[in-house]
Amino acid sequence: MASSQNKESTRLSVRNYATIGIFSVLMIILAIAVAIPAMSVLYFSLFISSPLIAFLSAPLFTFMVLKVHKRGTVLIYCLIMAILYLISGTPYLAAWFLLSALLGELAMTGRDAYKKFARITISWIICSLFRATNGMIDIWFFSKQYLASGVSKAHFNQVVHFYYSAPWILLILLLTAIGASLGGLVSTKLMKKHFVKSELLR
Amino acid sequence: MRRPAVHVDFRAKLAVFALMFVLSALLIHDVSVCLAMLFMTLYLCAQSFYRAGIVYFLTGCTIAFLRSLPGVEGITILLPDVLLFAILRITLVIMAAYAMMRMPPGEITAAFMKMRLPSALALPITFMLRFAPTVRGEFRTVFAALRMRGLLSMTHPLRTFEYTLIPVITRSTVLSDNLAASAELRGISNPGIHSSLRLIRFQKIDSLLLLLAFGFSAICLYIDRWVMT
Repeated sequence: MASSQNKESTRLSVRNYATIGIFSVLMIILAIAVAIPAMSVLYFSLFISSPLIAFLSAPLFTFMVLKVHKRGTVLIYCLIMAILYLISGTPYLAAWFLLSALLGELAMTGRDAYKKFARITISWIICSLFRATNGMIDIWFFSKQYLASGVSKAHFNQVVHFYYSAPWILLILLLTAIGASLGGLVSTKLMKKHFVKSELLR
Repeated sequence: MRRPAVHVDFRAKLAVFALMFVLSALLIHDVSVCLAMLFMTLYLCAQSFYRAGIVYFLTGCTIAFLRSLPGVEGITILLPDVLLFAILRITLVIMAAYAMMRMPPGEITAAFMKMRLPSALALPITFMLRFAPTVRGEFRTVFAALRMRGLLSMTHPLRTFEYTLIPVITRSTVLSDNLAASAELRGISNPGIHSSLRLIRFQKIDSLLLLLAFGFSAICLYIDRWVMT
């Protein structure tokens, strides 16, 4: 009886799906709230937007993973993102996010990984890096469509200059990884200070 | 007597949403985006979302007008045209999403079951659609409480971030538990065949709507690529 209850508890429940869905919405809205105003300033949108989103969304991701603390949480979160990209007419980004889902979940393998802050942060860094490359993929493979979509030539030239340069790409990815790591660090403190203390998270 | 709204199947709404997403990425000229918005206004009004339809359409037209003004072209660093360009297209997508977000969660769940989408994906998406319209209200409540206590400060951004995020997380957790409990009470995790009080059927009106949506999209693309250039 006890073992069957334990077996049951490792599966994702309706409550867990609700948590994943609701926190995914919060992360998407936070990302949009940062990304849209960032579009008006070129260097901000290129270098600051992704690291800032990675930093600000980290507590939401950490809380979601700790609250559910079951295998498959990261996978489902990334799959939701992939579905959104698929619906939005960018199946190549959906495929890209499938890879992110697999790697993000792979980072959470091992016993009690879903309860370890370090592992959650690693998984978040992977997800953030994949998200940061979205714009680059658009430029690398669909530059004609990007230019034809109505953006000014000045903007396009600047973006191309940075996205076709390996050092700049590495800098963007490095900044994103730093943003996600700092976000993970702050999340750990916030979770311990507020939710572990109040026993909302165990 | 108020005329009943046209009932559109969730799958048709999902198809319109995907179509508008693709259209927003393909259309180059703002006039064609506004034309697509006009269709979406009619689509929303047909479902009795008059206010949302008109507000979004007027917002789109205002943005298109601002983009047409001389001097708002992007200049190396400051790129107001890119921002307005994005907002205009996002508004079109929001119009399509609005009709889906206003649907009863039970109907969405039933539609997902009919589409045979795995519950591991169908359930989170259903909860997402149910929760998305309330997010603004959640943040507004938290900001109002912070403002009242004088805790909103730009001089301490990290502290403000913490004071904003923690109540939002707490409130969202309570809400997710309540939504999950409500779904459980209705037997969502029952492994048997689920029945629904609402008729989940792709009807003639849905086919007609999709036909109109595709036709209108083709017209928008034609005007965008051959008439405007």
